[in-house]
Amino acid sequence: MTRKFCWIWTLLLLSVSTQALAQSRGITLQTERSEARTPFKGGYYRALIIGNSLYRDPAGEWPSLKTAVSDARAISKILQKNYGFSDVETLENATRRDVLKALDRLSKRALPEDNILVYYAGHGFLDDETRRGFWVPVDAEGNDSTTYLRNSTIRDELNLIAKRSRHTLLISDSCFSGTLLREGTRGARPVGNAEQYFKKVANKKSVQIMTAGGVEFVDDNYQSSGHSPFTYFLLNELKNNDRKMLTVSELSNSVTQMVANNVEQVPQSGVLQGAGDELGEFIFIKLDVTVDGVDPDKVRVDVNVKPGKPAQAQQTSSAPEVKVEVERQTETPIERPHLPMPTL
Amino acid sequence: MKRIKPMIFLAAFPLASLLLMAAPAQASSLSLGVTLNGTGWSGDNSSGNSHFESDQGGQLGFSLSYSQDRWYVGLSLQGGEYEFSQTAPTQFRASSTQPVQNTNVKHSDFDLLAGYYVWDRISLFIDLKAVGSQWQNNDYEQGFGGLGLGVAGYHPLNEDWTLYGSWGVVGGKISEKNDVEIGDASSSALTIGASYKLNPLDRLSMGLKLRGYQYDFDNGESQTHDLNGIFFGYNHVFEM
Repeated sequence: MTRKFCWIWTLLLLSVSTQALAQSRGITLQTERSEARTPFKGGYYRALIIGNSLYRDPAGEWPSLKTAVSDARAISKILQKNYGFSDVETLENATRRDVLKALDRLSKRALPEDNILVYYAGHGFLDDETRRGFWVPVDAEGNDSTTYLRNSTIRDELNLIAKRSRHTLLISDSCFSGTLLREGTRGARPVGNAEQYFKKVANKKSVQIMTAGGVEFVDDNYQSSGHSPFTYFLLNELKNNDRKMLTVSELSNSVTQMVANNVEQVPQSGVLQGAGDELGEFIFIKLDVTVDGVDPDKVRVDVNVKPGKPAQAQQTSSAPEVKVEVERQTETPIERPHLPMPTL
Repeated sequence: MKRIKPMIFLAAFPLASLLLMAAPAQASSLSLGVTLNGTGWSGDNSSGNSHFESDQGGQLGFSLSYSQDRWYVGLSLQGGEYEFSQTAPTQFRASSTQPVQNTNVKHSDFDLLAGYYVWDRISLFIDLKAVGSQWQNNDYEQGFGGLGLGVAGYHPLNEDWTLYGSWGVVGGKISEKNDVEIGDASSSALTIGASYKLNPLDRLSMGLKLRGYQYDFDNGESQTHDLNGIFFGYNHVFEM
């Protein structure tokens, strides 16, 4: 009973604060607050999004990609607009050093209850002899794999992030990205007691990986959509998802099926070995917030994300904090007196 | 006047574009105004009877303006008749000079303008202006048209009263009724007024308007005109 009252009180406070924010800008908010309820302890949604299109390789080994940057931008946008990510760093055409430094920054920002997503779109490489996989940064030089980012390095960085956060998800849209993962199986969402299921998987640690393919080449620019097939269907699923909460397993199943049905590649998913995965689930929370008179694309919803906020503060309440912002603030009309028109 | 017509058309396009551009946004209003100018018309002729001054006269004006956020566009038409019992403005024509006495002269002003509030209370505007004069003794018509630039501003005193003003200059060509250009003209106008809010949609205004015209004719003659006086106005706003 007390818990129920806490919920109601929190939502009331949220309601008042969002209304106050809206009114001060001359707009009215209609927030579906139920969308913001999560079954787990509050945590920030953070993401590092990398898109590598313009490769500088003087040897010409790594041609430019048509879609990686637009893939990254689209992913970054949808996470912020529809899924409450507000701590999002997007790297375009990143060098090896850029990627490592960004991963380092991300791990330093990670807090114990956080949900952290890393997305990579760009070239990948598999060393046939050693069966080691790599991400290829834009400053990669020909066949010199020392200028690439080894999967083991990426795993190390993710390990560090995973240890500091609750849920970690790596999405890799590159060739041979399947070398990053170990397959894992998770239970499907039960038809009946979904709430119980979400509570269970949300509070267990997860370190998940979704890749565009296994140990194979993957396509660029699916049907001239401006996106790779994998990211095209990933965006499609995230955009058209009508569930309030979407687990990575569900997302992965849908995307895998759609990609496999349409192109010659099979996305894979699994867990990061040795990173403490407890069969939890990274959960995407879809927030549908409408603001009267404002284009939906201009509305941004953040869940729990205020970088630097102490983690302990969130653990006192299971209600996530929802912040609604209008991306490009509409100009408040100035009330000018209706004076006679000036003439000369 | 020949040059005025194409200029009006040229100006009409950007003005219409502004209206269309502004249409879907917020905070728009349409305002209809009527003004009564109790002005006197005086001036100097460079030759003939040197000074002229009207005995009585005035103008009635109508204006329609549309404002959207920081933009406003509008048109204004004013006209009136002035009685000169002694000396009237001399008719400096293309081929002759005709001193005039004891007649009425009609005066009209047409303004098509677009303005933008560069600051919250200060706006800049362009004004496509046409001025016409018609001597009643012999139906002679003369006028000038040109493009002007002005600045306008206001200062609210309290919830009901607002002081406002504008100043600007216009440069153009003088032409006769048959569209023959006969010289150059420039003018400046200063308006200082106060507006009183009757209710959110209706306002009364009153103030002083000073207009000065300098005509330099191609035949070497020149003429000045001053139309100064007080005005009273009423504005109604149609909410959109």
